[in-house]
Amino acid sequence: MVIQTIRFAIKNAFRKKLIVSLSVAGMAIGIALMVALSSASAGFDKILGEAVAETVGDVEVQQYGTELVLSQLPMNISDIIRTIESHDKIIAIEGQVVVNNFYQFADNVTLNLGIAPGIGPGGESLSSLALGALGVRIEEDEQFEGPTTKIIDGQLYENDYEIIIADYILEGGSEVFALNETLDLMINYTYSIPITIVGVFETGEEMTKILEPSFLMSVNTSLLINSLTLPFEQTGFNKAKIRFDSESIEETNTYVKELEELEPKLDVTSTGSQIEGLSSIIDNFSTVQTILTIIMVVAGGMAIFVAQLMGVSERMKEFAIMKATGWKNKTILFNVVFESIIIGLLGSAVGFAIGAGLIFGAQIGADTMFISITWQIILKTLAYGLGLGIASGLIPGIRAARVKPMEVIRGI
Amino acid sequence: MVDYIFNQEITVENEHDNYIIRTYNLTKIYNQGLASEVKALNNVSFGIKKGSTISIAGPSGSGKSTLLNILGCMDSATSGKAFIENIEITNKSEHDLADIRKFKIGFIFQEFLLIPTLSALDNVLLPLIPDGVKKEDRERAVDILKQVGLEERANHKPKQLSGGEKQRVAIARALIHNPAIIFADEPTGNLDTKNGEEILALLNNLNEKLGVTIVIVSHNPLVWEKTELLLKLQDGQIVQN
Repeated sequence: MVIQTIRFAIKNAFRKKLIVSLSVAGMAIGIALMVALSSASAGFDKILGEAVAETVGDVEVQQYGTELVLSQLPMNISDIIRTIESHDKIIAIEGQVVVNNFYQFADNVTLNLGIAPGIGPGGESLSSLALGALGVRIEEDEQFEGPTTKIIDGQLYENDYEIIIADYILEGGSEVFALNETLDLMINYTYSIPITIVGVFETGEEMTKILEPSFLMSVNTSLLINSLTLPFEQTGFNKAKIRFDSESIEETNTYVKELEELEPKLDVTSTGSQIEGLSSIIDNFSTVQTILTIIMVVAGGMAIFVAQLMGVSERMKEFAIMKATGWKNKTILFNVVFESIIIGLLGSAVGFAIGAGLIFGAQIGADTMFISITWQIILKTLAYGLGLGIASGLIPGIRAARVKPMEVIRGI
Repeated sequence: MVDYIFNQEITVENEHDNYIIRTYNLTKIYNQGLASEVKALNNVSFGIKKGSTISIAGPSGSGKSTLLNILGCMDSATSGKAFIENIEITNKSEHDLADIRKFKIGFIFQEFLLIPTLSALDNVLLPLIPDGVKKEDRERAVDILKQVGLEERANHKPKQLSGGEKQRVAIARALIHNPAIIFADEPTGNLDTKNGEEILALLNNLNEKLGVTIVIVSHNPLVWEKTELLLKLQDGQIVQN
């Protein structure tokens, strides 16, 4: 019996094709916006979530109260760090020397990541975010399963002035970088030293690969290069990376507190916390998105409401005859509300298709899908269609159900 | 000759099994207690036997529409009682009245009132939609359309039908539940004389063949002639029969 009523409602829902089309379009615009914004929000949430999960136990330390370039941690920083009470939770420690000179190659890197060019420390333009160069000990990097464990071409550095480079630097065919080629690393714009590329390491497909260093070399090489460019003698690491066996950022923060009590005093940063901090930006974005969506979708719902109200007013005699032939109030109400639900769901479906089409279209050519459609978005789309269908059909439905047959039929 | 009783003979306690319609001191007052108070029906009592055909006539404001509304289970009375097949309809809820309309009563209106999106057949089936249309219902609807001479037009939409054909569809719709009574409100009002006569002939034919009681509200003397009894109302009272 419900099927018959539904079929009847479907027939009636599409009687005024132009009005219904406009209602569906109004609803669809709102839903398309919601789908696009929600998908972007969900995509960034996913990326952040994965990044937090990967780095939940990661902590970075540098000399207290100094800039990174000036920071000098003793060469035995690993031993000092292992004196904390929770030392058994430490999985790995890696001292790192930051080498700035490699920014000079920024213009030579062809990155296909869709990231806008930036400006490097020396004023040079950058086609990537980082182009970081680090000096690390191979045995320490292996504990992190870092780049030295992911050589896909060539070999690890063994001698001074040998480096390994990230695979994405070679994407698109670089004219400067090639395996076993020698780079001329300019020092203070006055002379150059030869650097040999001995290996290429894999970085994977994730967007976060750009946060990884692009050039890796031995600690000795990095200190040698820095000694040529810095106005002081660098004898230690700029920073150290520590990985704890941690389940949560809160747990990691307890280890952060222990590290802050060490001597020499350290500036300690939890990587997971930093990334999680970005989620507040996403939250703000979500709030704006929710407000925008509600405004748009309610506007769409109003279109259905007005269309239904007009439709019901025009069909009062039909409701009168339905009532005269024994239709009950609730059946008439259900019928009108169901007509609205059909329009609402159709608007949702069209809006979803437009929204999904737009976001997938926007990602054509990108390596990584940074926008994702989750089942929550699909449910939300359905809920908006259903909810607005019911809400916008209720008042017209009640009007239709309360019709007094004889008064309407006789035009009293 | 039609069998009926009037004011002086009818009592609410009486058993009147043969009387399909009975009213006892039926009164309807609009805007009661206000300056604009109108007594549309004033202590109307009468009974009509099963299988009769009657006309109700009267000037505008005489109470015929009010009487049709109450007997058609679409309005309530201020006082008094009304019965359809010995079921008191003046004390029933809106829900129960809908059921009585569905199973006991068929309506025909001057404007036909067909649903434009539905075929003639589906219009006939309209009263059945809330309960679900079964195969046998469809067969019955086709059979009724045959009885009203529209078998060939079953799949036509209302806009493809003439006025007379539309009214035939409306009659078929009124018959789908096998009603005991058909209330027809100016059924020939929108038809030319020829079509009007054909519709009246069809109603009389249905009355004879199916035994359905037919109550017609009409200003048309031709209609009065075709029915067994004419009730004339004036100022809410029966003044002539």
